[in-house]
Amino acid sequence: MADKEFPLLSGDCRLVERCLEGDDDAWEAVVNAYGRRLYNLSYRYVNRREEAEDLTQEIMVRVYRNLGSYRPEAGSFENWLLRVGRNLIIDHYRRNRRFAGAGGTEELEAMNLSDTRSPSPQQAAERAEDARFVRAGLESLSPELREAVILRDLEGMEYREIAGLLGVPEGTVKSRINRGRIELARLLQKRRAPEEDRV
Amino acid sequence: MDCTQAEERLSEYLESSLPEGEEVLLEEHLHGCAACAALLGEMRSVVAACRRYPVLEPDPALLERVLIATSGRPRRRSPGEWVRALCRPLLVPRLAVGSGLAALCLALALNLWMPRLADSWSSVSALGVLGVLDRGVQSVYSQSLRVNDRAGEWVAQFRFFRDNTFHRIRFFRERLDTPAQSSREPARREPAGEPAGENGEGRRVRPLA
Repeated sequence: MADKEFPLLSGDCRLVERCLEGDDDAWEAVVNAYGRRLYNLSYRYVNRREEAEDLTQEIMVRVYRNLGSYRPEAGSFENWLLRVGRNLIIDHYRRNRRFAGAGGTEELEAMNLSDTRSPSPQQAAERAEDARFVRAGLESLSPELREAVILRDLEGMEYREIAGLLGVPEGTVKSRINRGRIELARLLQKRRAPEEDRV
Repeated sequence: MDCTQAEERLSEYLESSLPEGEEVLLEEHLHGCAACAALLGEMRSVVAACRRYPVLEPDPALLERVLIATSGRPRRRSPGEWVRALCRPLLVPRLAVGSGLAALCLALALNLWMPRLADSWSSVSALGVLGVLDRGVQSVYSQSLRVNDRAGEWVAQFRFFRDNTFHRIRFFRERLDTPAQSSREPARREPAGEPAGENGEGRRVRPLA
């Protein structure tokens, strides 16, 4: 899912080389290509626009300073950059261990629903409602379950990648994701129950 | 398979990664357990909702900040972004309402003015325009002549005043320079043929012996 929404940058190795040579245009291309993705990743963790912006800036500064440590033989630049970003976000998230409250409706209203390819306003409204539910549901999960669900279902990462990133066995990752989904499903059941009672 | 065991396998079942034997057992359980079947349905909805989670557009100022904090060079904007940046104030509700009201007032003012303008424009002709221009030129010319005459008058008055004042000053100075006696006594007339001496006394003619 994520790969479809965020177009990949071709010729990343050459781009990194140009950045290391001091080419500001190359660095601007990196920021334009990955800034939105890192911002969304940050936002899904912290649920606050300002905090997500600060995190994104912090990640990009760290990436810029550590560009020299990127090794093409170890994997793509995109994976390396996202790993740096995820590590920093998870550190930040674990340090704070808190989520934003139920506020932030302005962020939800500001969500770019124009590229959701919804053919009708009704479907667009349903999607906005789904987004509110996911956001509220994730806030109700424990930090371990929440980060596992975000990385799997919102970021589309593989179990193996998540295990490597979080430093836990793959079986633990699967278990956390399953428990997180079950809790969200029960939350959805509770939410639908009063509606059915009213009907 | 009981409900607890079934729940532990729901995610893998959704992702079709369960071993075949476990998948059959789970499906048998789901056929007989409405609660687990409902939970699976909700879980499917949750995963779909998560995957449709919208993408936020970061503020362009954020990317600008990032570039300044890293390379130090501000972001290069495309022409479209320049236009959007210029039009952004109009998208602010308060400013948009203000602009709308200003446009409305302007439209009302024009509505009051336009009929008169239309009336006057309908009576315009080439001869009329020439006449107006001729009258305008004549008016400007006569006004300039009047101003010139007025300026000449002012200059003449100034010169008269200046000359008169200098004349009076010279007159008084001459009066002041003249001795007081001569001014009080009438001048003594010398007899004819006896020119006055150097000290003012008349030279006497000695009698012939």
